[in-house]
Amino acid sequence: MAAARKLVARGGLAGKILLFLFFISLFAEFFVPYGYNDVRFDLSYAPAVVPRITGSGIVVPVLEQVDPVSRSYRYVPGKISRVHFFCSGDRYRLLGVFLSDRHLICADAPGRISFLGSDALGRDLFSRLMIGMRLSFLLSFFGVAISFMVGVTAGLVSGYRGGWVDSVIMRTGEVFMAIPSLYLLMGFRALFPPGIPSGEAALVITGALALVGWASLARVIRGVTMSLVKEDYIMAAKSSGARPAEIFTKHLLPNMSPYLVVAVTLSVPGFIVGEAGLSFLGLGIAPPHPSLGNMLADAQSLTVIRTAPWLLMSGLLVVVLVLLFNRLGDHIRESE
Amino acid sequence: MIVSWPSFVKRTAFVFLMAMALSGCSRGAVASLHLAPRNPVTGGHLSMDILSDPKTFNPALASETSSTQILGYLFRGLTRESPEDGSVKPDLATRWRVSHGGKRVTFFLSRHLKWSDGAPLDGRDVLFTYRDVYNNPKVATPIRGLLTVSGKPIQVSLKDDYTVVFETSVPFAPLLEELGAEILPRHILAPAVSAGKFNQSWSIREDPRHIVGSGPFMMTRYVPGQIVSLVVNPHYTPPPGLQPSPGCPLPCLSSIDLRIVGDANSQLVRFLAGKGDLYGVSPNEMSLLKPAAHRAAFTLFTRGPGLSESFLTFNQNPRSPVASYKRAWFMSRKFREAIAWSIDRKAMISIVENGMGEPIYGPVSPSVKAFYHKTYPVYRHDPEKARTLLREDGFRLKSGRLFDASGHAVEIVLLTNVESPQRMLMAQIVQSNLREVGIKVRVVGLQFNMLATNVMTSFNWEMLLFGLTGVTDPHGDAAVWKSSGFLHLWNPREKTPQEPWEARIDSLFEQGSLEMNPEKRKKIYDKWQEIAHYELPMVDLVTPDGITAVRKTLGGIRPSPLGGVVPHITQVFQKARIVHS
Repeated sequence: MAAARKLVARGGLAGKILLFLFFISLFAEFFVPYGYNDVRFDLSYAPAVVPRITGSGIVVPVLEQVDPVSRSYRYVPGKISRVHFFCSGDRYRLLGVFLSDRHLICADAPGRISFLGSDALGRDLFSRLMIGMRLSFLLSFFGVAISFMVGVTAGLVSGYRGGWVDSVIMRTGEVFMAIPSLYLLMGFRALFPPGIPSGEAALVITGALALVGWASLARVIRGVTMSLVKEDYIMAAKSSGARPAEIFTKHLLPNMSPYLVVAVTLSVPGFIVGEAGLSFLGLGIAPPHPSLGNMLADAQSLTVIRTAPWLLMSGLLVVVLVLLFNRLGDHIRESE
Repeated sequence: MIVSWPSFVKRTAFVFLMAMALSGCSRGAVASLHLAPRNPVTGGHLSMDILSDPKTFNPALASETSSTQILGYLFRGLTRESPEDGSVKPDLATRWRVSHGGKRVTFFLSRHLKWSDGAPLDGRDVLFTYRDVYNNPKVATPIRGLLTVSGKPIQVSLKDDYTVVFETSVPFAPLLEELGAEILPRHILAPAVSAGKFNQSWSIREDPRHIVGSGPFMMTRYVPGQIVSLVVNPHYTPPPGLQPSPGCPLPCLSSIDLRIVGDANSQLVRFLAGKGDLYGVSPNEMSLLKPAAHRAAFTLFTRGPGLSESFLTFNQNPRSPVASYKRAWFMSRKFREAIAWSIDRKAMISIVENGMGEPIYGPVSPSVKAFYHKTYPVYRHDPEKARTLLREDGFRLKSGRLFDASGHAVEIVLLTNVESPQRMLMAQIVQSNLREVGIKVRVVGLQFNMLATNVMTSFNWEMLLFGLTGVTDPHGDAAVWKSSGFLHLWNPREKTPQEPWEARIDSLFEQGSLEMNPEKRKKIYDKWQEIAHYELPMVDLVTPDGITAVRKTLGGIRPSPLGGVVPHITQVFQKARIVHS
C-alpha cells in the first residue's frame, strides 16, 4: 500500500492521467453511453455525433444513412434528441457484480451519442474503446504480477545460491529469451483450442505474456542479488543464522525495491502491446468482445480507413498508453 | 519493454501511414490519368494483378484459381461455356452429334489445329487426354470425378483422326459441359504418363516455354512471387463462330502480364495508380473506387448478383462429437426454419456488401436463369415468426434466453474462416439476430485449414457460416446435395441417406443427370429447390453483386452475369493508352 501511495505521489502527470484512465475504464459501463455489443445495423460506420448546447438544453442531432455504397450520412433536418445525465439505459453489471442500468450520459431515442463514431455494426466506438482499455489494463497488471513473481523468485534464488541452480535457471530463461517473443506467444496460444471463450482466452494470453516476460527480469534481479550478497550486512545476517527466506524479504527485496518499481512500470507497455498484437492477429480476444488489438484489426483494409478513419483510435490509444507508462517509469526513476 | 513487436509495430505504422495518405491528402493518393489515342489498334498489352503464385502448370492437376486462371489462357477444351447464358459452344471441336438417346456424343475436330510448338493437334490428343490422363486412376486429377456417370467412367474412342466418340452407359445431361476439360499434348506428355511420372510433370519448376498448349497465348516467363508473362500463340486457331473485334485478328492482344501481388490492399492501390487494366471489385471497396473512377480512368461494371453465395449450415452428423441434445436441435426442421426467419439479410447486404448484393433463399442463384425457381416464398427478417416456430418445436423462452424441452440453454458455437472480414462481420450479424430469439451464439473465427479439418474430418463443429462458388448447371452441386457427396457439409459421405428428404434429393439428382429434355430437367431441379427451401439444411444468406473495374483504354469488354466482363480473351484490345499527369 505504501508503495502504491509512493507510486501515485511520484508518478507525476503521466501517473495521474493513467490513474484517471484506469478509473474510467474500471467503471466503463457507467461512464460510456452504450454496451460493447449494442449493434445498430442502420448506423454502419456512422461518423461521430457530439452533444451540443442549444436554447432548449443539451441535444444531439439524429443521423440517417443517405447512401450505403459511399456510407454517407446526414442529419435528419429538424430532428433532435435530448441528452440526459445519470439516466437509465442498457443494463450491465458494474465490476461484474452489481446490476445497474445507470449511465453518465444518454440520449433519447432515436438520437445516439457517439463521441468517436461507429464501427461496421454500428456499435459505439467510444464505448468499446473504454471497455477494451479496461481489458488491456487488467491483463497487463495480472501479467506483470505473474511474471514478477516468477522472475523475482527465479532471480533471487539464482543469484543467492549460485552454482548449478543458477546455471539451470538462467539457461532456461535464456531459452525463452532466445525464441522471438511473438512466436513464443503464438506457440503457447496454440496449446489451447482456438475457440475458447473470451474470458479463458484472456487468461491464456496473460499466461503467455508472463511466460515471455519473466526471463529478462530474472536476469537483472540475479545480477542485483549477486552484488548485494557480497555486502557486509548480508554476510552479518547469514552469520547470525537468518534463513534465506528472511534474507530475501528483509534485506534483498527492500534494497532493490526502487529498481523493481521502475521495472514494473516499464514492463506494462510490453503487455499492452502483447495483448493488442495477439488480438490483432486473431489469436487473442475474439469479437464481439472489444480489445484494443481486435478493434485495430477492424481497420486493416484501405477501404475501412477511408470510410471510417476513427477506427484507428484504438491504435492511437495503444500508443498513448505505452507512452504514458514509459513516461511514468522515467519519472519514478528520475525522482529516486 | 520486455517484448519487442517488429511486425505488429510495422503493421500499425503502415495503417497510420495509409490513414494519413488517404484522409489527409486523399487527392495525392490517386493518380490523375488521361487517355491518349493509340495506333494501331492491334498488338496491345494487357496487365492484371493476381493474388498468389500458380501451384502447377499442369491443367489436369490444377484445382485452385491461382493456377486455373493462368492455364485458361494456355489451354482449351472440346467445348466452352458461353458467358452470356451458360450454354455450350464449340471450341476445339467444330460441331458434335448426340445419338443413341443421349448416350453417345460424336465430336468433329477442325483439320488445321496445331499446338503452340507447331505440332498438329488431332483426335489422338483427345483420346490420350481422356483415356490416359483423366480416366487414369494413377493421375491425381479432380476432373475424373466429373467424368464418372453412374459409377462408370465415360468411354472414349477414335473413329478417325478427326472424329472422337464419347459413350456413357446411361444418358448424362451435363456431358457436353463436362467435356470442356483441357486437352493435353500427347507428343509431350505421353512419355511422362507411361513412366508413371505424370503427377510430377509440368510443375512450376518447369521451364515455362516447355508448356505446350492450344490456347490463344503461351507462357514465356514465370518469376515466382513476381510475374507470369504470356505472348500470343502463333499457331492459334480461333473457335468457330467467334467474332473478331473490328480491324483486329483473334487474339488481338500481343501479350499479357499477370503480376503477383499478394495483398488485396496493394492491388487496390496499384489499380488506383493506373497499374493494371482489370480489377475484381468487392462491394465494400465501392466507397473508395466510385469517387476515383474518373480520375483514374476506369469504368465500374456492376453485373448483378453473381454465383457465389454465403450460407449457414448445422451439424446433423451422427458421427460427430457434438452433444446429442444439440444435434437434436439441428435435426429439427422447425428449428432451422426459425433460424432462417431470424436472419436480417437486408442488414447483411447494407453492412457487408455496401448495399450491393441480393438476399437469397434457395440453393440456386437468381443469376442462373435457366434453373432458378422463382416461386418459393422469401424468408424475411421476422423474429416473431421465429419465436412462434421455436415455441411449436418445444423450446421455451425464459427471461430472454431460449431453453429446449429438456432444459438445456440454447448456446451454439458458430465457426467461420477468419481470413474473410466479410464473413466475420456476417457471423456477428447472425449472432445479434439470434440473440433476439434468445439463442446465444459464440463466433469463432478459424484459419481456413483448421476450419476445413474441423468441418470435413473431425466433424467437430456446431454451426458454420461459409460460402461456396455456385455453378451454372445444378448437377455441379451434386457434391453438396447428394447424401454421398464430400461437400454435403451437414453430414458428409453418408452411406445411406439419414433423412427421407435426403433420399428424395439423391433420386432427383440422379433423374436430373439422366433427363435430356431441358424443360423436364428444369422441373426436376425445381422440386429439389422446393425441398431444399423447405428442409433448409443450408440457410442461404446473401450473394454480392459482381463488380469489375475496367481501365477505359480496354476494348472488347461486355459485362455478363456469369462470365465477368471479358466474353473471350481473344476479343480484348487496347484502344488507347494512359498518360500520367
